[in-house]
Amino acid sequence: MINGRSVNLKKLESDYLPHIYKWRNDPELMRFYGLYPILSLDKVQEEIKTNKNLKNRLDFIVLSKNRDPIGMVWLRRIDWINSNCELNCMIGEKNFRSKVFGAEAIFLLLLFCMNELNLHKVHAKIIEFAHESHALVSNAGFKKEAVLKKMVFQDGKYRDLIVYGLLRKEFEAFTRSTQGQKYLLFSRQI
Amino acid sequence: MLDGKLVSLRELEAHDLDQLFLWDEKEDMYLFKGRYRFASQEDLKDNFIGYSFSQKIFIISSNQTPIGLASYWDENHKNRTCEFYARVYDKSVDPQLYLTESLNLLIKFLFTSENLSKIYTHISDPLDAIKQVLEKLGFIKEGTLREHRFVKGQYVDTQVYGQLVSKNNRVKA
Repeated sequence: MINGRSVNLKKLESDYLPHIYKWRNDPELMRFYGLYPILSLDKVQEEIKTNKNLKNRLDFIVLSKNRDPIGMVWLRRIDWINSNCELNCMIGEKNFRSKVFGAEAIFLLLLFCMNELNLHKVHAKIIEFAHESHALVSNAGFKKEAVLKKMVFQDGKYRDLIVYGLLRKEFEAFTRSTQGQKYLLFSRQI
Repeated sequence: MLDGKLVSLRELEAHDLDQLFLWDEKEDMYLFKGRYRFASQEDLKDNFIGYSFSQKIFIISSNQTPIGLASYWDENHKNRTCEFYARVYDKSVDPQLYLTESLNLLIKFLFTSENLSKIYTHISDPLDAIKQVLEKLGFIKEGTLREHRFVKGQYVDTQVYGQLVSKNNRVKA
C-alpha cells in the first residue's frame, strides 16, 4: 500500500472486480482511453487476471481516505532495458473526478516508479480532447514530446494522441517544488 | 510473398535464424529495436518463437539472398494502426534503393491488405539512413521522445515518424 494525503494506492486484486466492471462500462469515461466501452463481467475478470501475469505491467486501485475504491492507476510497457514505462490514470467515481485525487494518485505512482522501480523516464499518452489530463501531467512536470496524428478512433473520428515524458531529474525537481513537498510530506509506503 | 523489382518480402522461416543471428551480432540490429542483444543462437531462436506470436516478421531478399528484415507489430484493429521496422543489412547492395522498395512493399501491404489507416516507426540512431528514405516516402516526424532508449551506456532520444493512409499512397505504393 502506498499512502498519500487524499488517496492511497493498493495493488489491484480481483475483490475490486465490480468497481472496475462499472468503470469499464462507462462510455463517458472510456472515451478518454480509446477503449471499448462494453465488456462483460467475465471479460473484465479475464483482463485483470491476464494483466496480473504480465511482467511489464502493474495495476493499482486508488482508494479514498475512507478506503472506498475511486479509480485505477497502472503502468504498462515497463521496459527494464530502456528504463521507462507508460503511466495511466483513471478516476472512475464521478464525485472524485476533481484534479486533487488524480494529481496525487499520479504523484504516488511516479514516486513508486522512481524510488522503487528505479526507472529513468515515465511517459503518458493522452487523447487530444482530455484537457484536464493534459493539465494534470503538465502540472506534475511532464513535457510534451510528440503529437501522434490520428492515432485513436474515438466518437466517429480519428484523434491525435499527445505523448508526454518525465525524466527522473525533472521528477526530482518537482519533488522540491511547494506542491511536490506537500505530497512528499504525506506519502508513505507500507 | 510480396514481390517487387529488386526485392521480395517473404515470411521468416526457421532456416533464416542463422542469418538473423549474424546480423544481430553486428550490433546495429538490436540497438535499433531497443532490446538486449541475443546471447546465443538458442537465445535468439527462443525469443523469435515468442516474437512471432506478437509480430509479423518478413525477410527482405534479393535474388533469393536475404539482405534485411522487415516486421510490424502492435496492430490495433479499432484504431487501425501498427508500428513497423525495416532495415537492409547487406552492405553489398545500395541500402537506400533497396530499403525504399522494401518499404514501398510493406506500406502497400499494410494500407491495402491489412486495411490500416496509420503506420509509424521509432528511430534512435541519429545516423540511421532510413530517415531520408522515410521522408522521401512522405513520412512526417511527429516528435522526439527524450532519452527514451539506452544505447551503448547512455540514454538517447528517439524520433517518431508516421504516415497516414491516403488515396495517393494506397495506389502509388
